[in-house]
Amino acid sequence: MRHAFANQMVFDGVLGIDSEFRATGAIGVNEDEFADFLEDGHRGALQGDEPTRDTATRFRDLLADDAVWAEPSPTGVDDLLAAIDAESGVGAATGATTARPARSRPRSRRLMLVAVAAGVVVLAGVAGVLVRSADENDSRTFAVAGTELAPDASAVASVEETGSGVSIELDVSDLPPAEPGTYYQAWVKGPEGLVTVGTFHMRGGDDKVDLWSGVPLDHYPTLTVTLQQEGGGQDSSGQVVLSGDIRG
Amino acid sequence: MAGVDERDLAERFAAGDEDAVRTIYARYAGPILTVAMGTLAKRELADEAVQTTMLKAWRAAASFDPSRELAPWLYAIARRVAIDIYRRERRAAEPDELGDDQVAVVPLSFERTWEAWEVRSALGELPPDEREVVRLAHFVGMTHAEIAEHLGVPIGTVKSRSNRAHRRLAALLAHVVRATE
Repeated sequence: MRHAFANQMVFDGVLGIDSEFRATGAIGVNEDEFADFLEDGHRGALQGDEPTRDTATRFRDLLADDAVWAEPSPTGVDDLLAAIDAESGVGAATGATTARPARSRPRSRRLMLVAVAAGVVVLAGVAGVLVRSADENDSRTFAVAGTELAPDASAVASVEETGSGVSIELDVSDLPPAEPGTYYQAWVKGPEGLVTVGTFHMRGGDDKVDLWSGVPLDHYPTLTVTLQQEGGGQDSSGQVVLSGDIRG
Repeated sequence: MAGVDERDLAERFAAGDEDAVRTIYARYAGPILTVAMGTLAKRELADEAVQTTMLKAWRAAASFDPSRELAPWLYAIARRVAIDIYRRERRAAEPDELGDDQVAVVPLSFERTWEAWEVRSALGELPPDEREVVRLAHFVGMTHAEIAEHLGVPIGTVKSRSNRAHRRLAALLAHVVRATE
């Protein structure tokens, strides 16, 4: 805000009157003129009551506040699309049961990231380094790509059925450590819903993260990681930083 | 009453159509951010509020009443989300640790944030050249002469742009004036 947000009412911030600023007369349109404009517009549209000078003052104060001029994050829409991607085909993270169709046109960049990450995995598999045959020990490996919120991040997920559940080992690269008060949470998703498989913070740098799922990944094939706020509730924040699909 | 375009937009938004998501974001992310900044002190919290609002709206879009308008519906979600974040931050913060840039504010009333939403929306309707004159005049605090010098145009051009912009703003905000008088 243009005015500091301290312990004052927000009106002093969003709608606060900066008397010194106004007294200078520096502004190109004075209050009376703006009120006249408002009145003209009001009459033209309504044929009725006349606005008071207070209305003009409030609008003018709003126009002087950076809240009305702030621009949304340029990557915001891509982050939103990534979050929708991550939830497409499943009920809402809040527990809604209505299934949603997948987004009609997935973003090409994200697909490219996934494709690149998948390509890396395939090459590694050819070299016999990362990908193990499903016939060998019943494990599968798939690529997990960073979203717009963490474009440099990536991970390779190794999945193995065990007697106690599904082990998911996430080998994470270049995911920034979660700041204090925040943490990462991993989820698996499918037509039947959204299930969390663990939380972590990465404050020690790149590492392997052990996750566990009590639901079969054939039914919950999408793995996502969200950035969560402590005390922010149990629902997904929607701030997806990593996303991948066991189906490749 | 929502127009056909808006109903169609809401339906496509609910279906996750990328164009619809982008259109909704381009049209409403700014006003949502304005509401969020009126409630929260930190820009990153306001950004979080925008993202959460949009995601909640998408999740709820299937139940959106097509006979209504999108803007008030989104505004209500945005305000609720911003207040939830405000309360969360307030719970998390120790009062004596609060700095000037931290959340320690009382959320704006419904009417005030609605006015802020409407002003922001009205600004979004202005042609870019008129919008810039309004920004330089009201936000930066320039005189017409200073704006003319800054933009490299004659002062008469600035005055005419300013006049058109303010008349346009007045018309766009007329319904708010009626509601608040």
